[in-house]
Amino acid sequence: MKSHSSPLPRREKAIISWLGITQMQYRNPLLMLWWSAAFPGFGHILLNQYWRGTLFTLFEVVLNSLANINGAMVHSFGGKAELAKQLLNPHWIYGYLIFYLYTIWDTYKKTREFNMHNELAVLENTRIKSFLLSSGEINILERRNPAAAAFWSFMLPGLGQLYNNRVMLGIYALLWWFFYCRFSHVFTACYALFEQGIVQSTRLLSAHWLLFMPSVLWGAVYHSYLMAVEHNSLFKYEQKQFLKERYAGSEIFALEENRGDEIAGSGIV
Amino acid sequence: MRLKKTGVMRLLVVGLFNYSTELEQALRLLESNGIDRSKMMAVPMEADSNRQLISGESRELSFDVGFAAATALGVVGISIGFVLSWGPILWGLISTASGFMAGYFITRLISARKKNAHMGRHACLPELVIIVRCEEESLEQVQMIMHHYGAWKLGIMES
Repeated sequence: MKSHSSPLPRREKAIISWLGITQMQYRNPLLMLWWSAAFPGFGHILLNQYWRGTLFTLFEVVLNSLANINGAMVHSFGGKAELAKQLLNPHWIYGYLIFYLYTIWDTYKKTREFNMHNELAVLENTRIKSFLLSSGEINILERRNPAAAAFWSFMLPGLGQLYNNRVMLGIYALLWWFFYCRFSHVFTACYALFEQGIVQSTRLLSAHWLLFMPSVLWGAVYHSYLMAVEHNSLFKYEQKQFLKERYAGSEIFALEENRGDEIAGSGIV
Repeated sequence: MRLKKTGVMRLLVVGLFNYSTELEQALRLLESNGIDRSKMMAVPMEADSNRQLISGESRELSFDVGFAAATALGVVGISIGFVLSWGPILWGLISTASGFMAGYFITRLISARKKNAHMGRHACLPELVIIVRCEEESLEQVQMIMHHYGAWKLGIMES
């Protein structure tokens, strides 16, 4: 793994910007595929394709709402297929279905593609920049605690992203979480569970908005966990580069040899 | 001249570290305290040097699968909860928790079978060896700096 002194790196392992750290890393194609199935866009966000991932999540919420996918899912799992059929909006389901399948397929393909490029980037071993001061933000590649990242995103999706310095994604997730909580009425329903009983509580809930929440919550937890793990491995990778570069010219054992001669010499004398 | 040289005892200080920012603080402090960079050495320890060249996952995926299964079962549990007597919130919580447990423990079992267990053992061993050559008079200071900035253990030998 020697770094060559070509003027332009062919493949970079990672870059740092005020938006966060963007990196190539080995990722499991099936896990990425699953997250796209759970929520279109999440797979791409996990692959660090943040712009398209974010736009896909917007697509998902809008198309799902127009086509009534979540409501139909609730009826289907509840064994009322007839109700589900009535609820689905034929104007939108074709487009939704194709879009949904595409994001799943594309995530799988992209993961395999990035895994190859990651391997090549590691072998190329281009020096990583790990410290960024800009006028409005500070971003430093540091060791992170994956459990802390997961914990904060579990308490409030987005906080784990902020902990990992993925600034705008964290704020985006926070905004959506407040929105989901408000429109699913999940907190009033929890309160009603104790005060008025289960039937009243269930009546308060909006199935459509509630059904987004498990994917968003666990998606945020998983993203913050995975990014913390990946930042840690990138931190080691970068520090290894640094140490190799800075302490390459060690004379510790060169001195040893000289000293050996000295002792040998003194033995003769 | 030779007499003068043998009068000063030269030492090797060997420290076990993890990759960390504290490690860089230690090295910079040693340098600013007059120990030349050429008298220092950093050796990264690889758990398995072959693993580096084989592409693929090098860590256990039990949490990853746990989170995925929690989501899947959570969505189904909430949906079914709308027609069950306990309601979507309680069924959502139950199915999410059992999804996570199932995903987590099944993955642990499978990866334990694949003999990935040794990776876990290596995970808690030091990742780097730092070797510093110094003279007797600065030994105390070198030891103090290395201990203070996260050395697991230090070994000292005459050379």
